[in-house]
Amino acid sequence: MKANLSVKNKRDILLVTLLFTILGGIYILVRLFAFQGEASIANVYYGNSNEPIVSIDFVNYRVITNYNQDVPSSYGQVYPIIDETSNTITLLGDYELNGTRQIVVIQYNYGAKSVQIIQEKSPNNICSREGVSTAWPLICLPNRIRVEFDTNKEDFTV
Amino acid sequence: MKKIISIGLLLISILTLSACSKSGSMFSISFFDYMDTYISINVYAQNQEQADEYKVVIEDIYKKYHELTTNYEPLKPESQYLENIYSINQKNNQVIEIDIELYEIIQRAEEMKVLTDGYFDISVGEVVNVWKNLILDETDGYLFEEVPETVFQTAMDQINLIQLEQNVIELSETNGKYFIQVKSTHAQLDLGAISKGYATQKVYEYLQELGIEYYSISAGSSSIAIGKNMNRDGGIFNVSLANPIKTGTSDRTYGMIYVKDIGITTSGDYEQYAIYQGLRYHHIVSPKTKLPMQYYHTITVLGTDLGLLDAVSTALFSMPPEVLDNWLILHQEALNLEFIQFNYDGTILTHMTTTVFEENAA
Repeated sequence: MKANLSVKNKRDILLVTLLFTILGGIYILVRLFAFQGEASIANVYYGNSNEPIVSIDFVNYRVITNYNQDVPSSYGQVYPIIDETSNTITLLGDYELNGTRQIVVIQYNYGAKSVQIIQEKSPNNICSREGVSTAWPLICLPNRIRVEFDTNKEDFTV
Repeated sequence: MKKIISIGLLLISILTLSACSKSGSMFSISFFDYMDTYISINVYAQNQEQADEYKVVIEDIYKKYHELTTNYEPLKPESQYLENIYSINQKNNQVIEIDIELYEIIQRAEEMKVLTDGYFDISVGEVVNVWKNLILDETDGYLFEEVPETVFQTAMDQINLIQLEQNVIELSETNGKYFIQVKSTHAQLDLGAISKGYATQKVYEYLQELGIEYYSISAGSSSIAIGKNMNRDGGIFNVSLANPIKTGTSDRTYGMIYVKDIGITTSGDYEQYAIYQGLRYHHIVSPKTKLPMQYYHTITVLGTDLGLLDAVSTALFSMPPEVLDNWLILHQEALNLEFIQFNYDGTILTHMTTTVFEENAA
């Protein structure tokens, strides 16, 4: 009976140790992924949505469309347009010229893990003048389109 | 049997603990439509419904101060407010009744004028408009470009014609009603250098009143307020400082500060400027000279009152270095502020008390 108990005890200790090791391992993995310095993904957002409309995956070299823009049928086109040859993503911005919403063209570079706004219409063209970014968010107003990197090295820039 | 029960209890307690830490999470709230900027807020909430409740209150704050302080458009006919800066600017010399919220922000701006020895002044709107048009006009602006000599001279002629008058704003209160009189035939008010910080301060206070520990508010990157960072040990946020003379992607920041529970404002010449004879002409105009000054590329101020930080960083930007140094001697300790100045010659000077600043850490 006593011997039986001690075997049980050993099993218990083993079980608890195993449990903590697994939990510890998960914790370390989560931390490692949460604190990667370089951006592995850039997310493109449209409007007030916190869900990225497009994600650029720099690790697996792919662009993922999460959903389509809600665009009036008169535009005769589904947005975003992903062009894998020229490495561009085209969205329809909110800035209007003569009642027509204008496009915003985002170019990505997998090797450099960078993004650039190469075409957009707006009063001052501030977001296309920002040039190539590898971490800095690109915000296009009044087109209401932004590109943000998931880098964790910095939380804000002032 | 006892062992099984105790292991069971252990498992339950671990699961309960992990459930506890996950009972709430961070929610993102963003606005494009106020203060001509992108406003992004991350806040801890128990669930989406609670985050949505916060969003309603926060949006009300930004919307209110946007409507009241804009000098680009009149209030909408259905607006609940009496007047805004646009309409006040059409009624020089008249005594006009205004809402208490607008009265209070103007009163705060006037206090900032006294505090900064007149280097912050909301009554120089006429002068600001000339420089803003030169830089940002949709058809004739020279954003990031060289201004032709003749165009620059025309702007200077306009500036020279403007006679700035002292103490044109008179505020008064009678029987719970609030009034303003702009005692000038031509002075124009411009709250652009305080409204964003002031509104962000109201949001900051709202989140603090709720007792929320984890949050961050970024109003157009020049004005940020942060609580604690839920995702990093010690609750620290890493805030990088934008390099105003960046030449590419490798030098876009010049340093990093490690902070929590603080407000940070940067005034700089790098987001909107035109070039004339090798110097940047930006939108931060000295009330003393009527010109954009070239002592610094950026002034970053850290403290706990965003409205004050917005006004002070603007004022300091126009102060010659010796005036700035004297101002710091008189006020830095009393106001519990910290400063980082990126000088026009590219050198960096810091006036920190507790915050850690690392140059080129990004």
